Amino acid sequence: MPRHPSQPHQLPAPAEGAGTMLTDDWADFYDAIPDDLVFECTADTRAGREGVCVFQNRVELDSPTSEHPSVLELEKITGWAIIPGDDGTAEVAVCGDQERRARIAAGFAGALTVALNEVLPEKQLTHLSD
Amino acid sequence: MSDSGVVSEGDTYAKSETSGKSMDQARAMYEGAYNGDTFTTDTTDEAFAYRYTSTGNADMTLRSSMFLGSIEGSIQPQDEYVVAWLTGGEGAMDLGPDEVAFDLGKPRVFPTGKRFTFEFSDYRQNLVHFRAEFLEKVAAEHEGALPGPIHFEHSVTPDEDALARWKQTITSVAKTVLGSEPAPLLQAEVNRLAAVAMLDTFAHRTTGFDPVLLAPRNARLREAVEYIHANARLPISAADVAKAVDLSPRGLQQAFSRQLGTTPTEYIRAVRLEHVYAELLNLDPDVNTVAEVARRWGFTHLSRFAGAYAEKYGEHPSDTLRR
Repeated sequence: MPRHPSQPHQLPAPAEGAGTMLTDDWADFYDAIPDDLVFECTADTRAGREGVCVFQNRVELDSPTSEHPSVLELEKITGWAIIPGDDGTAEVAVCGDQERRARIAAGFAGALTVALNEVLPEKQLTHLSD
Repeated sequence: MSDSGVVSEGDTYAKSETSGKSMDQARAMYEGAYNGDTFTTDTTDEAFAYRYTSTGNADMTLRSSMFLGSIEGSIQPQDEYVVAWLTGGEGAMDLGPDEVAFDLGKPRVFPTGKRFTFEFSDYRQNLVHFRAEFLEKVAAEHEGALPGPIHFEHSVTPDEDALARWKQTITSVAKTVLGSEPAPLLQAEVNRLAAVAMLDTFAHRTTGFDPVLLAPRNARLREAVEYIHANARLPISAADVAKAVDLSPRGLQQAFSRQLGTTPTEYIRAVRLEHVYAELLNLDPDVNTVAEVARRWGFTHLSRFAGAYAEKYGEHPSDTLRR
């Protein structure tokens, strides 16, 4: 089941006499931000959901190849790393009982690094073992 | 912002979001995604949070940005044209003598092709991002312009009639794009509708054709010129141009010589030189160099490039960069 189930939204009809002022907030087409969310960077495409959500007690990694996110509790995470790609993307790898990965756009790697350092200080890995 | 946060490739429709509640994250996110630097942020009376959403495909995305704090910095738009308006808060862009303040609900186009500074506070904003190549192609079709950079007059306020048409079009486009994934053909149609609305709403300049090219007998030559302008950033040669318009290399050579008084190769070089000039005018001399811009446009022999540049523009390229 998707974490934030998408709901069909309808733009309100423009009020009579509303003039030329644009008042709709397009963020209303997205679900509310969960209270315990620290950082989210996700994309939904026809292929599925891809990206990462960092919560106060867990990290969730989405990949289009899996219907459900991989959920890793913070206390069981032993390390993490962000690996720059050469196609405008970056991969985040999170190590616990096993290594899980997800892709994000490269432009958001800096923000994700800050977020993971907030919840998992001193667990950033400089290299990943094979 | 050239990067929508979307990992998907090509024309794939995608709906993405980035959000959080930490100022350090937010600063890193906006700098990384907006090709910006030296952003400064601060808290305000509001509890801090930020959110950036993006929906659409490679040609056009509808975005929203919320930042419950103050943020200022400078950004360098790359390969895109952007219209934005505030639905809450306050802000201004292109700070200084040409400063443009945002009025709530009134759209403004971002300055094109140059680094500009901005400041916003406790704001919610909607943005429409067009891929530059897409909008330039629509402009060529819609206005009969040569494919190439469009210079928007960002300080010109559109009149009320134009704004009413923009509102009507963009509301309809948003209904189609934001609700659920449109069929690819419908997506292409609304992208085009929005692009035409942008061109009809916001004052801009494009490059027109030499009158000689409008004569019906010169249709092939006109095609060749259009091809060169549309593909100047690619490694095209006179032979490629001839092939594209179904002329022999010799026929193309004669047409250029007779009607335009130049050769196809010289014409390609002149178009690339124009791009270099436009970029140098708008780039920051502290961040960019003449050599990197020249090389990007295929000028490998820098002293020869500088000579041709000075002959055409009457100044050294480094003087243009410092202007």
